[in-house]
Amino acid sequence: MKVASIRLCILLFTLAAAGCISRPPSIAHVHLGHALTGVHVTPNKQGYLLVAEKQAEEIFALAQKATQSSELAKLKADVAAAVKATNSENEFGLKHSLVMAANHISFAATSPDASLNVQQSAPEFARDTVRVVERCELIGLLGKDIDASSSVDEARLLAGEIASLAKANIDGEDADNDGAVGAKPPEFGMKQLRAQLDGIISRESPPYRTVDQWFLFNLVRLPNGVWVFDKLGRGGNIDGYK
Amino acid sequence: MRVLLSSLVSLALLVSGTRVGLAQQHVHEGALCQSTSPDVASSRTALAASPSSLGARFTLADTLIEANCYDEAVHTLEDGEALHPRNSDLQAKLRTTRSLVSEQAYFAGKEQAEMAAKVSRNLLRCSKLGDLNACDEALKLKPNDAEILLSKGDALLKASRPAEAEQTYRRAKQAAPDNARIATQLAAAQAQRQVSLSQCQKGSGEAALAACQSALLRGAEDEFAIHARMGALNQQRNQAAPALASYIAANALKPGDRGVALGIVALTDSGSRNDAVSLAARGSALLTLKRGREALAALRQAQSLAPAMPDLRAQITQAQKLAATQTAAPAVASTPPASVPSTQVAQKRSYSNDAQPSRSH
Repeated sequence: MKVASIRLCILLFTLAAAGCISRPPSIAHVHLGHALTGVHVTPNKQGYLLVAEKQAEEIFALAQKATQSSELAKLKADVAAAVKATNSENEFGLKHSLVMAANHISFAATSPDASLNVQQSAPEFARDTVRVVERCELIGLLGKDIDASSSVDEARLLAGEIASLAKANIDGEDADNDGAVGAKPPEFGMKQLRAQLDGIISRESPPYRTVDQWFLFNLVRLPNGVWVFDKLGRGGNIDGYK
Repeated sequence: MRVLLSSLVSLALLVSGTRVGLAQQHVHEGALCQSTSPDVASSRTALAASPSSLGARFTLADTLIEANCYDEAVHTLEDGEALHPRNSDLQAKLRTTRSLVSEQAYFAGKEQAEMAAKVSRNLLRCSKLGDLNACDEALKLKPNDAEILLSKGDALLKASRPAEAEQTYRRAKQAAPDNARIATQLAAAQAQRQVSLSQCQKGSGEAALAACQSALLRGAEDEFAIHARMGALNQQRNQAAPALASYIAANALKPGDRGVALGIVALTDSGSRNDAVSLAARGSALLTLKRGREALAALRQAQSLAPAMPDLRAQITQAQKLAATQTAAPAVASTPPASVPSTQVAQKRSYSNDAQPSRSH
């Protein structure tokens, strides 16, 4: 009976150790999690890439709405909202969210526990975001033109261009007319960037696992530059993290 | 590490428009590598003297980074990997330096994105809205871009400015000789210019004047004829200043045309235009009309106002000779008496607003 009790205790302890106590993720994976899953500063605490994808959809919907408007004031309002969803920093517009996603993947690459895969892929990912950033810049410039325009025809034409750019930011484009959309980085949209990040994740060894929210929201950088989990909730010098 | 992470955070801020932080200290946007700087040279010498010294290698890497030579800094550290395998400090330094290289590429990409967006915006406005200012802005950034030149040509053609369109398409053709659309558009511009030229020569009033303006092509064989015709058309409409400007332009291209000379003299007879250019043109025109003494007076006045004006001296010599001849033989039929006021001369000689150049246009 005594032996059986000891065995039971050992079994329970082993189960508890395996199932209940989880090891913290690597710092690199937490940074990747900020791009993918969640970060406490964004709306609904969603990951930067997810926010960027949602904004891209929103911009397209607003731009399409603008093209259908026959009233200049209404058209301008829709375009202004599309421009805000593109370039606003405070409201995590597409450009800002995407840059932050690339940035956090770069944080991952420079973490001491980063895999070679992440180290090599991060600069490539950052480079490949450039076309989407360029379209965002162009949407901003065309938005200013529309705001200054007194012609409905001109404004509608430019809104049509914004809609095309917004669509390309979602699906990519076929810039070289070879019949393949988003086949190369200068044609990339969010769809291709998401696939690229999924590729980085799938190549990770040890495998990437969805990072628990506690780790996502409590990673802080100490004044000496070292990243740690803030177990006591003291905050820290995290330069943009918290 | 701290520096690196700070710089990456700054990178995000920078792309979003706020340029702060350590990134600026390390990756200078568009800065050139100064690998021959004295600091780099002395660090190189120190490492050459003790190649196995990690400290000397780090110092060289740091001076190379300061000199914006990020790639070379990475190579210097990579060379140390064979001598110091699995050295954690070297690995950390390499990671940081490689990150600076990618940061540099990122800056280049960002700059490129902003410039590309500006060009795209201007190209779009140029091609779809015929906005010529946008065409010119785009050309400032990419002066020999065939596509932009083609779009500007199209915008000019759409704005009924075939001569300028022709000129622009020619530039586009130089940039892309095999582009079939440029060739087609060039032919279209030439055809449209011929139509304008015909309206300029045969028409009248404002429409003819506009046609002349749209057909006017600097350096073309018919440039003189168009200027002269514009002078006449403006004169008919009592537009003295533009008429004189056109005649002066025609006279500069081909001095000695009697019709142009008559126009200039008629328009300057009142004496209201006393600037050097008008006086020189009047002198030149009077020379054409063999009125030596008057030509000499006008040319001397011009010289006193603008001594460096080209050709004046030669024309003055010519006028002096002519005046001397006329003094010796005062009964030259075309020369009025010196005492007759120029306005009366103008009336007597029919130097009216109907004066026409001698060439047919």
